[in-house]
Amino acid sequence: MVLSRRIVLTGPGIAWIVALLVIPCLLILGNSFFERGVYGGIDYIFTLENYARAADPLYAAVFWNSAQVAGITTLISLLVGYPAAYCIAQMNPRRQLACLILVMLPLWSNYLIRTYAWMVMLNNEGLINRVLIGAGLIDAPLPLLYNDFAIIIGLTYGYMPFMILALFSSISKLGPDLREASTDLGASAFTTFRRVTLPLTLPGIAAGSVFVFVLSVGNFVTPDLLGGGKRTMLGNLIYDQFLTARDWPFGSAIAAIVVFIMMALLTAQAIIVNRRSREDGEAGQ
Amino acid sequence: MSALLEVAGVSKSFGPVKAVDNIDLTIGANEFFALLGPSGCGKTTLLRMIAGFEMPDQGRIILAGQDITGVKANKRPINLMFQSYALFPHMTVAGNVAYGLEMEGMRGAELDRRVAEALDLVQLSPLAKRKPAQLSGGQKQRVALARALVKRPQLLLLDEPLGALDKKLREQMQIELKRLQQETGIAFLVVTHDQEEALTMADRIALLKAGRVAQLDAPRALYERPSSRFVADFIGQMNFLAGEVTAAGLEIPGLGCFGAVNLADHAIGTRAELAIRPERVELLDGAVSGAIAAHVSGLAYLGQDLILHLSIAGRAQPLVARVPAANPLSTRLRQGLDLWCRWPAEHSLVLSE
Repeated sequence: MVLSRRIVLTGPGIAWIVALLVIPCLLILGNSFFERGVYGGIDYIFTLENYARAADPLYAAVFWNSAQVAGITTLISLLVGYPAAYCIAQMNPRRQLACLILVMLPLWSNYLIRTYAWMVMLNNEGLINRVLIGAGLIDAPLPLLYNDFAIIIGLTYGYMPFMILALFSSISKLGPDLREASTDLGASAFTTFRRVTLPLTLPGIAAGSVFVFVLSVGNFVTPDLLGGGKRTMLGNLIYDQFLTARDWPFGSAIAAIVVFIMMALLTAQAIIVNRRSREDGEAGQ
Repeated sequence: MSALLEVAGVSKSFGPVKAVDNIDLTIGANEFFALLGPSGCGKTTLLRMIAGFEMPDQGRIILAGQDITGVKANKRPINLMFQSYALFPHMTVAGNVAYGLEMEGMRGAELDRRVAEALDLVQLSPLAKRKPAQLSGGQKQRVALARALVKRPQLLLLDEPLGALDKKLREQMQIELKRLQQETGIAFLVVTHDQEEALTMADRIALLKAGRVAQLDAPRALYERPSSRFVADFIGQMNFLAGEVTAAGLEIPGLGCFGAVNLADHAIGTRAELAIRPERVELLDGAVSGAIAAHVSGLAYLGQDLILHLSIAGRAQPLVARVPAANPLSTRLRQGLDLWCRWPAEHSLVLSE
């Protein structure tokens, strides 16, 4: 009885995930161990060559570049998002709701359109350059578009809401009592933050950072549009292998590596969150 | 008794609500003081102002002769035991206790010694390495206590210290807190809504009502000589009989004229109430002069005591009496029994609003 109800309730969700996530991932993993067909496609001959090729300095640099860009994006999101989330968590419920809606509002419009909007803002004739020139601060337009700066701006803007939401849910669980107890025991505001607030919001930091990092690493639209295609990131590399080079097995191998790295990050984050929530027990009260 | 803490004309409003209204208090060194009152009476706000978490709108808070009204919470030699205990969940028991000393810059062997001492004091040494989530409610409370006491504050504030504990543990901790207070010589200021807690532990109690001190007295005086109907009603149980003050006593329509200890405090001709504690009501087999005929309309057995509701002809409210179960009369008491009751004038009070 209980079992059948469980199957009825969870079945559609599980079927969805299996059909559209697990099976495609396994197909990708499978393809990555075969040889490339002469006219594209796949020759079903087992090889590890694709993985050996991914370690080539040319491609390793792409991994490193992507990790750098995603890492900087994550760091900026964290530094900007933490104070914002902290502020929102201290507000009364009505203002809190309003602010959270504002944070999520950009997610309701299309990512591509928002990225084009940044192109309009950042280009040589764009809003920012024209204002700066108009104000007499610069003579020639600043190169704001088609570089790493633009990519990082775009990614930070796009994924900041995930960071703020993850941090907010962690910070808002922390009542004022613990901070007051720390103050009462003689700690300054900074010490209270360093020794109480920060360690106890580590799960939120981990969750938000993994969200932003994972989403940034796999993104190929922003590097293409804001980076002008000059900077190849992992998403672009995979995209190119499938659609331009028509080397499905190699594309699959890179995709499999990315999925593996992401799973490792998510697992690490889940462990942090789990250990914390077990330790904290009733801290959320 | 030398004054340790002086609260002078302190007021605090939240919007239109006057939470604390011009309160004056003096707490002596080495005193166990209780702020008692129903929820919303301002006791927690007053406590938070003494701790430094709220600024008074008016008035001054003086500790050991120094005005600390403007001193920040982390700079006051006062510690607070939170109602929720507020233990740091990511630190061990020892880490929680050490925290406050580390803020003073203490390190190494002396820190370890002081932490061990504090844990010893609350009998928690074997649990030093545990995390708060692995402790029972009573153990958490002891950690919170050790964490506050280890800093050797001049004054320890305790916000509803026993509220979260079950009855047995509560009674045990009442005695324990009293012992700790005497052993450490630190002045304790307890905030509670539980009159029994205040009565058993405190040297003096300030009963608050709507942001003001309704009465400030020793427990016995508060119980036996309440100064108003509010105090009499809040502390323990009380029978009230309305009447008019005369030269001979309080004239209660239909019952007669009754003497009381504080009759002289009231002007003749004013309306007032006679207040009698249930345990002061005597039950009699037969009519004697001054006794009132009554009818047992309700009876509850409490183990060591019996609670009786006595209906008296012409009165809507029954008189409540409390007799020891060991009383020879009590075995014959049952619902529906007719008997007589009276009360001594030396245990009766006349109270007005």
